[in-house]
Amino acid sequence: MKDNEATNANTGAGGAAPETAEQTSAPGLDPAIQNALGRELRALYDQVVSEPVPDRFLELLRQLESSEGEDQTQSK
Amino acid sequence: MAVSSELRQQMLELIPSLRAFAVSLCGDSERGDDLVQETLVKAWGNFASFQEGTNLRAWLFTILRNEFYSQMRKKGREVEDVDGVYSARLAVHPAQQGHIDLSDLRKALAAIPADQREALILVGATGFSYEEAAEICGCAVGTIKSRVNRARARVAELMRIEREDEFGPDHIAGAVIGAGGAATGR
Repeated sequence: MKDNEATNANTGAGGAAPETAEQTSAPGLDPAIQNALGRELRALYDQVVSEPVPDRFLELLRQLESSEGEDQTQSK
Repeated sequence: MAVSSELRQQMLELIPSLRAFAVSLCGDSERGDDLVQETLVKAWGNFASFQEGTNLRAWLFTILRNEFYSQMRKKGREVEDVDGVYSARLAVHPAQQGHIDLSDLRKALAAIPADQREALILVGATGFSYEEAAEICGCAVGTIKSRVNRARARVAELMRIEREDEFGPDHIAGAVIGAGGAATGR
């Protein structure tokens, strides 16, 4: 993941360095904590992403597709 | 205009990711799913403005985010209002918690400003690049990096404080690094 690459490139970024465009790790944030935080964020995110797509969305896509065919002789 | 079946399939595959982002914005899965629904309808109607082969995910995320903020404005609500419900309503999946206690993270995320939270989630959770996140949020790349940095620092600090209160200072290192079973079953 891109933010992990950034983390590895900025090991031990301690001290009160001002935030610049090049600095991608939080100043003073322990890389170990940053990695742990990244893992937990993705775990939180994955909880929802791994859920099966609810029927309402499958139905919605079907409806959107069929309404495209309204100008054809297709019936709903 | 007709939407190609390939595009439709790509949209379908992006729904889980959109749902996750929507939940992080809205604070609960019901409103999140409503937002995703509105996003898909909008996107479908606007495919003429989308160039096939370009970043569909970023495009959909942008529509979703814009829709969220425009709804907030219409309701006259401050985005920060969402913070209060965020940790309360977000469903916990006991089977998936394992050794990671995510409720600390949810609380911490709820406590930081909305622009920092969304930047952190786009980059840290969804895996967008800084450039993509900047595009989605309509700001400069440097702004996103700055928000992500601040969000990370603040969330880490809040989680450390949370765990220190609960488990005592000895448990901090292990709990934050996720090495042990200290943070379980809250």
